[in-house]
Amino acid sequence: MKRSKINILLLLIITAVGCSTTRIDEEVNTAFTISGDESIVLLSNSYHTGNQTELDFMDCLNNTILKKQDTFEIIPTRQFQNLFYPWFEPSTAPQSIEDLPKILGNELIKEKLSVMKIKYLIKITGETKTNASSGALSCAAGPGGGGCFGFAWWDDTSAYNASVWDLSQETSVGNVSANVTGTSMIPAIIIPIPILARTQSNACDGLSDQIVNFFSG
Amino acid sequence: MNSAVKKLIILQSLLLIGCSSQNLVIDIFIPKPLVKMNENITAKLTLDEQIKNFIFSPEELQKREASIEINFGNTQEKLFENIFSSFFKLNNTETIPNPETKIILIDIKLDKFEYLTPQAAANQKYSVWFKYNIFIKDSNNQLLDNWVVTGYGEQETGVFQGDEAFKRAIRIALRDTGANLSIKTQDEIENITNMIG
Repeated sequence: MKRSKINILLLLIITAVGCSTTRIDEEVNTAFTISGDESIVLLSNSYHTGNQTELDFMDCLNNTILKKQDTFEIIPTRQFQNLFYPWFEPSTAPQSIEDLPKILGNELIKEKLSVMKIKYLIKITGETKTNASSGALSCAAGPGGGGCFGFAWWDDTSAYNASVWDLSQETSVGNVSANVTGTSMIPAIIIPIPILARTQSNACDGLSDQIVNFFSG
Repeated sequence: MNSAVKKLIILQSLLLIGCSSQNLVIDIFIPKPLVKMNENITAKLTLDEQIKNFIFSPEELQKREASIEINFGNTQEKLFENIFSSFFKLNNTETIPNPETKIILIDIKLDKFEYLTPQAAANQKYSVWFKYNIFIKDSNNQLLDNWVVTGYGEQETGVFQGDEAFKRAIRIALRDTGANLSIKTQDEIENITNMIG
């Protein structure tokens, strides 16, 4: 096989992605505004309440929103938690809008939020789960070489919700959500070729678009 | 990830670590709590020997699974000093700086340190618990209050290499301990102030 054909084949293998379906929802409760010097913060709900939002998803969301807009500031989650320690840790952060008045009743917190112009807190819930998997893949190696044979596949669902809380009004101003399903597979004839549906990455992209549009709209 | 692939990875990991022992060294950053300083109270901390340079060694039962030695160094000591120094002036010498200053004694004991590995729990995460008994006393060594403070942390093994997920779970649990202790102290500070007059 010519070298260029091998390169194309390798490129196809590397870039092969499984198919996925994305569903986006948005709900606005009340009117709101944000200006250039004001900030938002993303915070995931705690694993203490059974929520399992992945750290890498939160990192992805923070970075993607930062790249996609310049109309407001975004304070990285970890930096915010360090500055406001111990009030927004997994076990101590407000889990619902009803918990906000108690935490905002603390003058030190309220003053610091005001100084840093943090106007909205966005609570993220959800996770990526594998729903079903099937197939078989076996690999063997011997003195003459090795290889794999078989076919395995699995379905992933990445479902995330972002609830936007106005810290000055102590209300929820809206919700956006992204639900991505996809099927990944690994066919193997000597060499296993993973064809992955990047559901979490797509959900990050979809949800960050929605959050940016929410504040731009 | 497909369960067949997961099983292969777990089997390979078990084969690799089955006969080895692990030595974890814990370091941690705990931010300064955002709380109000009580200038007129000085606190003297007394830490259990288990807290100072604590090295956890597994018991015989646990050794069958995997031999993990965890060296906490002075992380716990730094944690408690960091939290309490945000509420009170710390003074561990015998000298009393000012006759107006009220003194409380804080004795801290580590009651429990427990963990679950992915192998033991048959899941993909490390879970870690700390439980401390904290005794608040007045300057005459009379008990004013007795707190139980806990911390919990969990970390999925995910993309982390080697012991990193376990270390992260321990760091999260210590940070959680600090958060719970800060909020407990904040809630009780008025009572303590009233009790010492």
